[in-house]
Amino acid sequence: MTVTEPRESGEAAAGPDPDLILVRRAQAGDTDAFGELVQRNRKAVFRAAVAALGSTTDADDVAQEAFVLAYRKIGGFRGDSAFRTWLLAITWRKALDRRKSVGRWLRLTVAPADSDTDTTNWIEQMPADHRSQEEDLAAAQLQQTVRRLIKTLPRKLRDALLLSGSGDYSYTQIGFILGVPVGTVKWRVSEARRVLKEKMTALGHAYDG
Amino acid sequence: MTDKFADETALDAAIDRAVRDLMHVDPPADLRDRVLAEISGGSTTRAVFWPRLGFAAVAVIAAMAIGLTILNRPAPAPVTRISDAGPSTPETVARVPADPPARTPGTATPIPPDRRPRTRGNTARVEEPTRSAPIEDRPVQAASIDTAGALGVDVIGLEPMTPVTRLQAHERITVAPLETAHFAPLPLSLPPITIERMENSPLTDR
Repeated sequence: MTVTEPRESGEAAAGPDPDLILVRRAQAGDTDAFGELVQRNRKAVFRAAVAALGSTTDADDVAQEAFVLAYRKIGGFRGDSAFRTWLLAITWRKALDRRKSVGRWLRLTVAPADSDTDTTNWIEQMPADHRSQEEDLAAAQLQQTVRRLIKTLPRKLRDALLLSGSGDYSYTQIGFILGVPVGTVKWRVSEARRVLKEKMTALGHAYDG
Repeated sequence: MTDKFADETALDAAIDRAVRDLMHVDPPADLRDRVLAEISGGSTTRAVFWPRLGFAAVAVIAAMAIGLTILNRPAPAPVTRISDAGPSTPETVARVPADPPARTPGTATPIPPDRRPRTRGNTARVEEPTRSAPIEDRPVQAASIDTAGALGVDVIGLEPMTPVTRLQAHERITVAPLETAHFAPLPLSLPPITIERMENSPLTDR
């Protein structure tokens, strides 16, 4: 499915691609300019990989591979879309390749990613709240439940929910990354939330404020 | 209704918070440096190209020198022709009587039948294997060894274990030229046919 992606970059509104000048310099062989592009887009790339893989270790590898691949292919970038969107598409394909890899599957089978002992997992990198012990316990239980339920979502719903919830990407960019229309992205996000709430209610969770 | 709406809003807030917390992870600080190092790795590879090429050239020259040394070493001693059947060519195969010559006791080790060289009749021709020269072809000497009854010669070691008697050439067989005999058919003669009257007795009624 082909998605037409307007020129848009990250949180910025539509307008000239702020990365375009650096891209032209990188296309001319300026590695410093490409280094600046890496610095400007590294969070978006890394988080997209995290959304796809759920592991910061795998996401780190994928982000590096995506940047290197982008550097090798930057000569073919014509500016039809924003550089960040083009870069995120590369990252997403790399992440999907990693997600399908046998080695990763074996590693997760031996040491499941949701294991409490897996320090590389994103769940373990959650910031701790500083409230009373009782509030902390209730909030931690709820967040733990939500995270676990998010991981049980179908991948299509989960990908759309995580990408949209990060705040780093517009719906248009998410549609371009996932290869679906914007309307489909919105439906998937809404459906993911509905399923989550349904499951949480079934588990008896009622948020008390 | 209000409680349900409040609960739903609260659940939405919980989801938003969980997703935001899940996704708000920062990449390692050295990501840019690693990317640039990997990108510049290609030029690093190119930088070490010339030393590698020089090493390869030295290795090739050394290999050629070793090869020339091997080729120019003295030729091996000519192979002693054990079987002397006169001015024979390597293609000559001498035939000898079936009876092997007398062996000297204790000087030869019997060769099992399955290890004996293949013979044509009771002779065999052993040729030096052809070696392929690495640079150019050069003639190699072929030896024709008549085992004269394989029991007498250790073919592998080329050491005669028993004296081989001189072969006796057979006399040339001469065949008289064929003569064509003339065959002429004899004239066919038939005696004249004579017709004689045959006498029959007259028939009588009963």
